[in-house]
Amino acid sequence: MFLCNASIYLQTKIYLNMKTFRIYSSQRALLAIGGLVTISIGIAFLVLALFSWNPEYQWVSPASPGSGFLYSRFNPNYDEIYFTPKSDWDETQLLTVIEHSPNFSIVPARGIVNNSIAFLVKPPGNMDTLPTGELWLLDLKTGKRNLLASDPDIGVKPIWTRDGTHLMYRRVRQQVQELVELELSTQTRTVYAVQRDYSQGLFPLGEGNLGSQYYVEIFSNGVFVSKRSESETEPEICFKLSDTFVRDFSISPDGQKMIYLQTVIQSERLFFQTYLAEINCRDQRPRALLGENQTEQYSPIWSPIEQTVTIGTNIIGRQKSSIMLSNGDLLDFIPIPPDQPGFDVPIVWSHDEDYLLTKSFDGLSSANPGYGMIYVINRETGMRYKVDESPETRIFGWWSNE
Amino acid sequence: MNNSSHRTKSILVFSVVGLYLVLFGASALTTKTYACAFGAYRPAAYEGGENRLLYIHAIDAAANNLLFPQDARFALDRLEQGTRYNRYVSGGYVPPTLIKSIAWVETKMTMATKSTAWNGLGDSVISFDCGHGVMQVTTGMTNPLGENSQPSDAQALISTHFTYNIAKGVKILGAKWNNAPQISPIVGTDTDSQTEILENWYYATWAYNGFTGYGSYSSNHPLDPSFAWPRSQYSCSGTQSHNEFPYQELVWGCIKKPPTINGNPLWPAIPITLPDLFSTEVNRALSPGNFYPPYANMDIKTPAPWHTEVTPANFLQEEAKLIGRPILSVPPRSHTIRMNSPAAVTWVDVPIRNSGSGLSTWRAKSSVGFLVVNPPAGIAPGSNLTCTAASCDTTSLRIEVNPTLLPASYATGVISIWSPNEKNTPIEITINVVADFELTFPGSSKNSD
Repeated sequence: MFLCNASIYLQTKIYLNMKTFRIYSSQRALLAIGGLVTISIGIAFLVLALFSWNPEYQWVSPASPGSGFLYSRFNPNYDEIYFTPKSDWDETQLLTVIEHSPNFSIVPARGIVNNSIAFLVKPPGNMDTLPTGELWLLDLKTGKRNLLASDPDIGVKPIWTRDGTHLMYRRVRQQVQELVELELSTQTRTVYAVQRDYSQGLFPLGEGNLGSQYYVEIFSNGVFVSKRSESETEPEICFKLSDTFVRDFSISPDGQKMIYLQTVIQSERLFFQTYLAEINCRDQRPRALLGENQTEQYSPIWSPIEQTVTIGTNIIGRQKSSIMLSNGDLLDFIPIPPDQPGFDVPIVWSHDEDYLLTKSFDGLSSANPGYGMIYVINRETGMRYKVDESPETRIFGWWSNE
Repeated sequence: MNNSSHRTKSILVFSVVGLYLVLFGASALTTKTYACAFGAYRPAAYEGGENRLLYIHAIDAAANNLLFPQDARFALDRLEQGTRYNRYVSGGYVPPTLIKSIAWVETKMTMATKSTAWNGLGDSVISFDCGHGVMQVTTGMTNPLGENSQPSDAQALISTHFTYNIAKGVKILGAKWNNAPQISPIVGTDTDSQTEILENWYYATWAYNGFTGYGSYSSNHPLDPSFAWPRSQYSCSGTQSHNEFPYQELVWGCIKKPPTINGNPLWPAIPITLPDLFSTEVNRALSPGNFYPPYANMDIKTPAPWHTEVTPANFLQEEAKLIGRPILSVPPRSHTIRMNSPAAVTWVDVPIRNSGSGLSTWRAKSSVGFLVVNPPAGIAPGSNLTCTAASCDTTSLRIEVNPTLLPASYATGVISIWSPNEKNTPIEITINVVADFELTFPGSSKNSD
């Protein structure tokens, strides 16, 4: 701005002198002006370069190689990224800090791919209340960050494709929602779904086993799974998930099935319960995974190898909860210790399915969940290890830091 | 004038214009511009004490329509109540604690930017979506609404003066309430939707931040998949992120667990009740199939147990500070700006004072294009308001010369300064600009045509 004012000043002087027909010039004056212009252009480019440079952020690599869980912890103006190794769950290590707009936490994409994590963040200078932010990639080996997109809706978690080459996220353009597929190698973005006039919202779901992209679409008459259109035709609405509310939807690792929570009425109250559907575009009626069941269920997830559906459950009225593991017709469970109140909400498995990261609440049920902290549960022994006491943690997943 | 001289002048003009464009290009790449009422300018605002007492007094008064009952721009509309098909004007009040909680969630109950000292003056807090001041008033603040594409007096008051800002925020909240039944659902089908019951304000609070539905962008629907579930209640302690909760749960959380300043809660806690999302009544009411105007199927009973609070006072406390009798004072009334040397400054700072009480919002405009006022609005505190920060010594209006628009080397313009919250004639200041100088460089010789 100083240079702007200087140029205005020079311009003014020249103008005024021209008006009074008293302009003084010489070859030296021309050279001086030309020099000033050149230097100013150079400074302008330097300013451009400075403002587009990604500043260095402090990064600390894990003290030693080895696998563990990666997660973030919220603070009012920044989130901290932590690594907790399998070798010693108490040895949680701070790797870096992500600054953000006050009171807006980062939103991780679940999973670590090629030693990188992706997350949404509302940048520090953005002080409005709208949930539009930025999508970043962070290399866990070097700490280097890359800005991938400046328009995602931070209300919707981005998701990786199975091969880790793309990220899917939601954005809003002129009040219309779009689902975007971003190719990491080229940073090319393709819109693969656009909100229709009568649709209330879109959420990315993931790939089927044949590579088609599916997404969840909300209408006034219910929630549906739709399939990305491969041509200029309208996208296909495949099947209905629910007449009312769904959440926590995910596709199995092999791309053939999906699980989700939907509300069901039992004893004049509604509970979220887990439903299973086939990922194809055929009309079907998803089925309740645990059948008729007097439980409130939380956060169904897939285990990576066996594709076991893992669900948090809370038997209403008896304050007994456990994690249910369903693999076809087989049912197993991990009970909560008798002296520990509350219930578990599963979050993610380790790659070898030996460890399950959960959020454990000390309250009675979802209506009054109390305080939640993350724990690691050893599947074989049932031993539990507290990872972080903060209730405001977000999980990236299991990292094989070899 | 010969051809050589003409070419020289052309080169000079083009060089400087080119430099101007490059620099503005770089500037545009790095500067976020506003499209709000005041454009790129931030009017000055007064920030009260850290204990927020002034704002709390203003809120208590606004809740009962005691601040500006005769001013249609800022008066609380008479509130309605009753069931959907039996609505009537009750003239009730807005629960003050609800407003306090909203103010805290929006801005931690502050009027100016974070860098402003308590009991001082600073830039008004304006968000990128044009929310202004304590209550983050956005309605009517996204574009200048005055004459000649300038901000209006009301916009200046909302942006600079916390009393008007709070009054406007409460008016907007009241309007959200009164939207029922035509374009809003009702809470309180069993309690006549009384305004005194805090829980009945659930939908109006939701609407204050945007009555957005299940699956929407910036959704405030409590069952939206974007929010964690189960989720602990919002504790208003700064330890939980806002993007994990719908707006109305943030407000409810602060009502239940008020923030503290130096260990003292800002207001008495009220154990307000949220709707039971898994009762069949509420779950059906909130289902996507019911989310369309007039939202008749979304009407619900008052969540139980419900709560009221102490009826706000029916008299205006601290009137002298909240409203007062400001008297704008701008001596002297004439200034000269001399631009006759390379080192000359091209502006003058005109002190603006309030010799009365309360806050005086001031506005300024120029009669000529070559004089630019910066900022175009501000605030001057009276002696009965504590203003101890260093910023209080520099209440001034900067009048800048745009030399490219000067009609001659000697020119005069008039700056009018007035206060929208005073009945006074605009004060006029004469600005004389003297710009008679020559352009030379060391070692050059004077050429004459």
